[in-house]
Amino acid sequence: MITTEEFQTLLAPLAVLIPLFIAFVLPFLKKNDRLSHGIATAVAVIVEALVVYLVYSVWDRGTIIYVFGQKGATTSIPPGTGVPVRIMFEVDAMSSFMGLTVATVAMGASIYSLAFIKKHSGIEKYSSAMMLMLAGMLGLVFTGDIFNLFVFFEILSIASCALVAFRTKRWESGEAAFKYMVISTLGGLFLLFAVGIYYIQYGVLNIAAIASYISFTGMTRLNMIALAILIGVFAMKAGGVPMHFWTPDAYAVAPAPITIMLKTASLTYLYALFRTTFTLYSISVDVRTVGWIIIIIGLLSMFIGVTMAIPQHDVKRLMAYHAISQTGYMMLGVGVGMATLGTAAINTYGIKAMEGGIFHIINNAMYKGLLFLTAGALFYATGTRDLNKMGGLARRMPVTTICFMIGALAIAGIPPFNGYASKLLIYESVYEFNPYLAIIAMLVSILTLASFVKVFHSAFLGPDLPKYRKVKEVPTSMRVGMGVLSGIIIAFGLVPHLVVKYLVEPAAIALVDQAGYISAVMGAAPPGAHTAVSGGAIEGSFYGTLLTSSGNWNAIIGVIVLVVAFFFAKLIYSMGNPAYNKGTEQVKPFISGWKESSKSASHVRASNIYWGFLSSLSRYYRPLRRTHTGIVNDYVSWYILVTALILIVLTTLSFRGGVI
Amino acid sequence: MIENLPFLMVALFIAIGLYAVLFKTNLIKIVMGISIIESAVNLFLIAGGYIKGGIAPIYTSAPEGESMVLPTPQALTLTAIVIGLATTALLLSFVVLIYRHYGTVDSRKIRGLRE
Repeated sequence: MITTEEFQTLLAPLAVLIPLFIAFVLPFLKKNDRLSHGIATAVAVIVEALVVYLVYSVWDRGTIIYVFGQKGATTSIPPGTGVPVRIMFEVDAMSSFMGLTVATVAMGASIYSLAFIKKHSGIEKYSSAMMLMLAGMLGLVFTGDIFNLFVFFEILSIASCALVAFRTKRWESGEAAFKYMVISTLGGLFLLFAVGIYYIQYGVLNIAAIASYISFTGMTRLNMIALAILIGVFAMKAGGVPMHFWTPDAYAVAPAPITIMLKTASLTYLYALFRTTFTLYSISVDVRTVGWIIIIIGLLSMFIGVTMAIPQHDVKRLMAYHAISQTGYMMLGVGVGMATLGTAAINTYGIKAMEGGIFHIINNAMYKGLLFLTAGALFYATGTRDLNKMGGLARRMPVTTICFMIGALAIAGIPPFNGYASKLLIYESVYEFNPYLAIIAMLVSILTLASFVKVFHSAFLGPDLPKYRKVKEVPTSMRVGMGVLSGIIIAFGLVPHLVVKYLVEPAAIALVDQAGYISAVMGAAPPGAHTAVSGGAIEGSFYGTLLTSSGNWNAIIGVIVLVVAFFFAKLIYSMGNPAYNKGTEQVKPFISGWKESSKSASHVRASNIYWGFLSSLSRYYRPLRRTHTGIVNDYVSWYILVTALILIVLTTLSFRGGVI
Repeated sequence: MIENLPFLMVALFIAIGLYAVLFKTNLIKIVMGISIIESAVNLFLIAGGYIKGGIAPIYTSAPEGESMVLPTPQALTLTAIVIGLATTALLLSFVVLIYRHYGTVDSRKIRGLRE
C-alpha cells in the first residue's frame, strides 16, 4: 500500500499520463463513437478529480515534486555534482491553480461534445486529439524541466492544429490550421533554441537549477537573447497583439469545444510566460523593462482586440478578438507585479495586481468558455456563424440565451459576476501604479459590453425569423456543459474572497517566490533570489467582503441591493396606469400616422448596429484592417519583428540600467 | 575560429529558413523553410554539446581518462527530430487540404480568413 503522501506525489504525473495513454488507445475504437467519446469524458472527469485533490495537497503540503524514475526530490541530484539530472514535475500553487483551470474547462468541453457524436464522423480521432491536448496542457503547467516544457508545447501544438482542421469539409479549416501550425512550429523551434542556450551555458535543463544559476551569474548576453525569445514565443502563443493574427482564424474555425480548449491552451502559454519571467529571471533582470514589455503587449491586446471585435459579424471571430482582449487584462495585472518586483510596491499594490491578473485567468477560462459554447450552440442550431443571418433565437433557445447572458455580463465586468471581482482588483492596483493604464482598462471593459450587446441583440432578440421556426434548444449534453461553467461563474462571483484566499493568493505568492521554487529542488536558494511576499489582507470583517488594494467588494450585499432595486422597480411599474390593456390599440407603436412596417424589415442587423460609431472611426479602422492581411508570411513577419524589438529594448534599456 | 564554424552555420541556416518563411509565397517552400530552421536548431544543440577530442558517450568499454561529448544534447536532438517529423507531416497534409479547396498553394491567394 502506498501512503497518502506518496499518492499525493503521484497525482500530477497520473493526471498527465492517464489522458496521454488513453489518447493512444482511442483510435482503435473505430466506428464506436459513443464508447470512445464516453471514455474520453470519463477520463476528463477523473483528471478533474485528481487535479482538485492535487490543489488541496499543494495547499496543504506546499510544493510537490515528482521525479521520474526516482523517489523523492533530493535524490535527483547525484552526490557530489549538485546538479539535478532527472526530469521532474514541480507543482507549486501556481501550477496547481492552472491545472485546475485546464481540467475544469476540459471536463466542460468533453461533456459538451457528447452532442457531436451524431453529427460527425471520426469521433475516435477527435477524442484522441482532445486527450492529447489535455495531457499537453497539464504537462506544460506541471513540468519543472525546460526541455520537457518544449515537448509538451509541441504535443499541445500538434494536437490543437489537428483539431482546428477537424471539419475538413469546410474550406476554412485547412487554411486556419496551416497558419496556426506555421507560426506555432516556428515558435516551438525558437523555444528549443532558447533551451539550447541554457543548456550550453549551464549544462542543466531543470528550471529551478537554471534559475539558481542565472541568479548567480546575472544577465549574460545569451540569457538576454533567451529571455527575448521566450517572451516572444509565449506572448505569441497567448495571442498577444501584434502577434495575434492566427487567433481569430483558429478559434473561429475549430468546433466550439475545441475553441475553449484552444483558449485554455493560450492561458497555459501565458502561465509559461509568467514562469519564465518570474521564476527563471525574477530580479536578475531589469524588472521595470520586462514588466513594461508585458504591460505594453497587454495594453495593445486589450485595446486592439476589443476594437477589432466590434465590427465583426462572425460570432466566433468576434468572441476570439475578445479572448485576445481579455488576455491583455491578465498581462496588465501580472506585468504590474513584474514591474514592481524587488521594490516596496510589490507588498502593497504589486501583489494585488498579480492576484487580479491570476484571478482573471480562471474567471476568463470559465466565462470565455461559456460564451464560445453558446456560440457553438448557435452554430449547431442554425448552421451559420454569421450574426447578420440570425435573429429572434431567444424564443427558441431559452437555456442558451440565459447562459449567454451570464457569460456576457461576466466578461463585461458587471457585478455580481466573477469578471467584476477580478477586474476590480486589477483596476484599483493598476491605478496606483499608473492611472492611465487603469483608465484604458475601464474603457476596454465598456467597449466589451458594447459588442456583447450587439451579439445579444442580433442573435437572440428581434423578430421571429421564418427560417428558424423549426430550431429547437440544443441537446442535453450541450446544456449540461454550459450549465457547469455557468454554475462556476455564479459561484465565483458570489464568494470571490474564498477563491482569492484559497486559490489565487497562494498562486500569486508562489509565482513571486523564486527562492521557494529553487530551494524545493536544490535544497537551498541562492542569495540573489526573490523571496516570498505577504499577500496582504483579503477578507474584510463582514462575511463575503473581498479587500482590494484601496477598497472592497461584497457580492452578497451587491445581490441584496439588486433584489431591493428590482422590487422598487416592480413597485413603480405597478403604480402605472391600470387602463393599459394588452392586445389592444394601445400597445401598437405610433409612427406619425404611418403604417408599421413588417417586423423583419425593421430588425437591425449585426453589421448595422454600430455603423455610426464605426464610420466616424474609419480613420482608425482602415490601417488596422489593412494590417490583418490574412497572408501567412505577414503573420510570421510580425512575430519575428516583435521578438527582435523585445531583444533591442531589453538590451538597450537594461544596459543603461547597469544590470549587466 | 574553426570551432565557431558550426555556430556560424546555424546562423546561416536560420537566416535561409527565415528568408523562405518570410518571402516565399509557395506554401511548400514555407514548410521547407521551417524544416531548414529545424535542422539549424538541431545543429545548434549538437554543436553545443561538442567537446574537442571527446569520444562517443558510451560508458562501457570507454578508455580511461578520455573525455566524452555530452550525451544529453544528442538525446534532445533525437526528440526534436521526431517532433519535427510530426509537424512537417501535419503541415504538408494541411497544404493538401488547402490545395483541394483553393486549387493553388500561393500564400497571397489563400487569405479567405482575414480581419
